[in-house]
Amino acid sequence: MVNQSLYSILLLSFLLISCESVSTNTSTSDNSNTDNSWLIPEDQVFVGAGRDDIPSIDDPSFKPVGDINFLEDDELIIGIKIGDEIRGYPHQILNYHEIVNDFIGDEAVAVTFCPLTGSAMAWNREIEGEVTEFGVSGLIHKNNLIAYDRATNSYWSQMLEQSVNGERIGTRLQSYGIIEMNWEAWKQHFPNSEVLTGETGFDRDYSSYPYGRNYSIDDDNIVFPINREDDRLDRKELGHGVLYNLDLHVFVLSDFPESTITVNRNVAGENLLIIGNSAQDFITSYSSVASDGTILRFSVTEQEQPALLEDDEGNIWNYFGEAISGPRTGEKLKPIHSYNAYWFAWADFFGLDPRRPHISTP
Amino acid sequence: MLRKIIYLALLAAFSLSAQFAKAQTCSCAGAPLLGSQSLGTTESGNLVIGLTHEYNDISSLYSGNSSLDDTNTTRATNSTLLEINYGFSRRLSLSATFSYVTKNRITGRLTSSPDDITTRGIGDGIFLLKYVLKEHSLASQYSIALGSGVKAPFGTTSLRNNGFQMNADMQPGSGAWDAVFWSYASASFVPLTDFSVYMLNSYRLTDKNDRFGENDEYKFGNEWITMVGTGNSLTDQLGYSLSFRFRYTTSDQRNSQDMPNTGGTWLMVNPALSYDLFDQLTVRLSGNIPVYQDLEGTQPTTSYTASLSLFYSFNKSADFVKY
Repeated sequence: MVNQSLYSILLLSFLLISCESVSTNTSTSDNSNTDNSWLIPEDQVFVGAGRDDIPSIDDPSFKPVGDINFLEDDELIIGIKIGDEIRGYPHQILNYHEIVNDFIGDEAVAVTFCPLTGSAMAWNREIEGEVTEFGVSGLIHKNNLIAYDRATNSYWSQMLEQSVNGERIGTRLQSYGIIEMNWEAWKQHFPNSEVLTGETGFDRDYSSYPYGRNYSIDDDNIVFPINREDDRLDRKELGHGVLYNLDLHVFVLSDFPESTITVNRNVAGENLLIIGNSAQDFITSYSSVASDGTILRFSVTEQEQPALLEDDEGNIWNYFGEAISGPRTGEKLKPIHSYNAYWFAWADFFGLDPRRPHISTP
Repeated sequence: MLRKIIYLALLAAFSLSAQFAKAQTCSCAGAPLLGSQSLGTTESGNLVIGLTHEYNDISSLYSGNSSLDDTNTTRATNSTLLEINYGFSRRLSLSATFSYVTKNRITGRLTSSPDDITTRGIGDGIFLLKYVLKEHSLASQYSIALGSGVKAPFGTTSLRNNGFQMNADMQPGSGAWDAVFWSYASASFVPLTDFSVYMLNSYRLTDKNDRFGENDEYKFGNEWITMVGTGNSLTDQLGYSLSFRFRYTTSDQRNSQDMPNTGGTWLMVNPALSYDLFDQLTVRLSGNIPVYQDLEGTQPTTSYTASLSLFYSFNKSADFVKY
């Protein structure tokens, strides 16, 4: 009997050893992406979760600012304006979803936010004439969101702003200009806007923080490995990065005063306008070159909302870079290649030795 | 001969169920290695082999101690545990547990194309040396045993999907040698019956693994399990037990920093029925039903577990399944 049992154990062991595997059983045949070409080093890509384990919001619900009661004044919100519609997307909701597949007017828009790198941007979801949805792939590159599009399963790096794998590899999306600020400032500046609510179709505790209450300030709380460190700034300093001609210039939010200022600056041969206010957690940038080539000089206006800036021609501009009065009424400042992210992410993505991000002061 | 056939058939059924049971289990907490040892100690010269199959449904989602109604993701883990217990002497015995784990995760169930992934492989193992400090006897109502050992990282941590190493909760193994401490105490207060109360404690002190590379240290949280319960015989063949199972894990750490959404406290009710098929063969059916969970951040967690076990004692013994 002992021999028989030992034989059984050996048999069982053999069966088990022979069956170490991974299998997928997707519901559609075109669900997987088998393209092995990547624009980013594959050894820097980690699996953070299953695909769509962090569910995108595909049927967003909005309420007027006055009906929003779940946000504290210091919570950040992402703002976008298309046509006459202004919409706000609170980090507090996006922390749990990272992507909102929205329509604003006739525009199909994906608002994306990566809680780990603090980076937000909005893309046009219409690609080659076809509207697609974006989902959270669960893959992470340098702590940053890798999205996938549900039309081709191509992977998209948020901070690199392009497809890095799949049928659409190398494709860049049309970006929309966005702004970020805290809720206290948003309420003041955009009282007539619509704000994304927690009625997302998913039961989540939006009052909690998926990566810890202090993630945005705790330099030690880094979830995935960092490849390149740069200790000139604390890891979680929020910086507005301006990318021009392979040069990255980072304007640090905390360097700005607690009142709105403008910075007219020539960066890598380009005339830029940087606007910031640390009390409002607000920093953004535009090209200061008007559509006719005129270089405008901006300052903060004394006029009431929604005015933000005035220029040396007497035009008044709003937060979204639109001339709302003056001879250039209706014109829009040219958006530049810029967005906000934590310093550790800027350094990790763009700190390729010997080239390092420039730290620019206001 | 009949016994041999039944035994081998059951063995094959268990192993096959581990391989082919789909739409089931997952999550690193899903493999019930620690605290799975179902025996107290083994008497001198006896060899007891146990085979357990556990289904762990991990479809619940909790934020702190609040249950969230989530249908986007389902997870389940099937674990087959092979337990070998041998008594070297009246006081000293060895318990070795080997596991085979199948984990399934379906994400994006509310999208048009859910992602259904199953991983399977040999899981980690535990080796425990147990020492009886105080034996139950006619003169003593109490028995106490202590043990310690290691959890060996037999399970792989490098299963890949589409070229990428899958995340830790889908790997069969943990990738680290852990220290394990164990104790068991029982008391029988009612003479001439099998009625007893017992307490089992298990503690796993985890070590680091290198899931993110050689220069990066990841450590699963330390784990504490206490079971307190009572058991009795209903007939000559049929017995029952009912226990509370308390489990606490600290948060995972990466480079000594706590990782979000890991660690927590679980309290479960663990009912079990055992039946002696033959003098030497006992079958046991048990389960875990959560009554309280308080988790760090938001985590998928157990909805329920169900286990079926077989224990074969090579020496005829009336009471080798303690609970």
